[in-house]
Amino acid sequence: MRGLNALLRRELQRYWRRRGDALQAPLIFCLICLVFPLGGVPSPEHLARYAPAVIWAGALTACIFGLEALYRQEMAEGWVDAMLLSSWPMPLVLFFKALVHWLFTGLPVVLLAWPMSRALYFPADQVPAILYGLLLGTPVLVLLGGIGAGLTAGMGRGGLLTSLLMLPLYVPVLIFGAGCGVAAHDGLPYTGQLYLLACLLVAAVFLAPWASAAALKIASESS
Amino acid sequence: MWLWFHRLGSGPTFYPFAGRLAWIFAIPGLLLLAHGLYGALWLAPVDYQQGEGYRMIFVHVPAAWLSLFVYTSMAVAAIVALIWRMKVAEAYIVDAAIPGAGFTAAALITGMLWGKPMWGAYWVWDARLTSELILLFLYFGVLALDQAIEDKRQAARACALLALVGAINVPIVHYSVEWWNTLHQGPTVSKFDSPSMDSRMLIPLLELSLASTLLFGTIVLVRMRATLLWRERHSRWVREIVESGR
Repeated sequence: MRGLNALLRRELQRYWRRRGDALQAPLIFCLICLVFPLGGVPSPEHLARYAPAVIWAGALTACIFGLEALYRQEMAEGWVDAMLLSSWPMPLVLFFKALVHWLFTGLPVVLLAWPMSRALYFPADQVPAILYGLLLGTPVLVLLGGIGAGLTAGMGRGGLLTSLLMLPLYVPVLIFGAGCGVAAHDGLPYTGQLYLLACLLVAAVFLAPWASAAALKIASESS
Repeated sequence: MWLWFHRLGSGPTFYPFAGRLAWIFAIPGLLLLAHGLYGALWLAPVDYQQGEGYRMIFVHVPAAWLSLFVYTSMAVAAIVALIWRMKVAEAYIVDAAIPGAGFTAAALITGMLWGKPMWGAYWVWDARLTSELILLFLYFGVLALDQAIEDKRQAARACALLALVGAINVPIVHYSVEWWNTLHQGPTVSKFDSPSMDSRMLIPLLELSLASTLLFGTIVLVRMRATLLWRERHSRWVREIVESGR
């Protein structure tokens, strides 16, 4: 238990010290949300229709950019090797790491999605559909992304490769997450999509840390 | 049985075995291909609705079948590679991914060419088309990961993990996309009790699917032989093979 506390404190401190870096992901999210009105027709009905797609495109991109911070430095510093050698169960360690990572990169996106969806003229009383979807979906993105980030952790520059590996795997989250917003926009119930997202979240919580641990182990074998 | 299995996993045993197996796959594969093509292009009757255009099915379905079959087989090889660290299974993953990506691209392109006259559009955002496209990107991911890692054994293990994660994800992707949008015709082949196809069409289709699978086996075995020779180029058995000129 004390080890767990220390681990959590270390992670929180690590992100807090470089909070400027952690803010990059939410900023990219905002910028992508601004690109669409500039690139398309800024009329309320068009923007509101496409708001869920825009918000989710932004969330996916922000998450992928953020993944770089997950293991790259840990790998270079030898933290990964130390953890693999320790008696700690690696999947558990990685789960808490992903949790802290989500707190600093995912949660701001969820919070910023409120003003952003309003800026895209999404109906105010339906905004919770987007927020609930993001709240359930972004942790899945981080947990799944850990697998890709783990596989590319040992490379000098793996950011682009991580996005190539991960985006196809993000499709179900995108469909159900954005589906929430689309259904809400049309005044339909969206609890079904939320349940499916919750399903994906449970599956990701229980499976992804193991796969991430295996990925990091493979990545650390080279040196 | 287990001893044989383990021995097969090593280069010196696998190399000659794969050479023979490649021929065992190639000969019936080519014969079936010839017979199937004759049946498909000459004997099979014209479709009452789609005319001659339906004959695209004889290329489209084998390609689509192989795109899924190859990915599944890669996932099985991935399990073997990750658990037993068999070099042959490691070689299979990447060597199967290239023809697999080719078959996926072929399925998409023939589907587009078929869709234009029948549906009136090259591309629709339909469930099966979209999941096939995502499958193509999964193949590209495996290939890109292999390219990015210098150490080829490490690359193969990384690809194995990715293929496995992808294989768990493929059904989820498929059902999520299906739930999202569907237009593609329902299955016509798998309903064996009462197939919705004339047997003069169905038999060449099955023959061609089997022939493509066998020929895929030949291609992948030849590729694996080359990969093993290259990866173990410093070992004695490779030198002996090269010196004896076989």
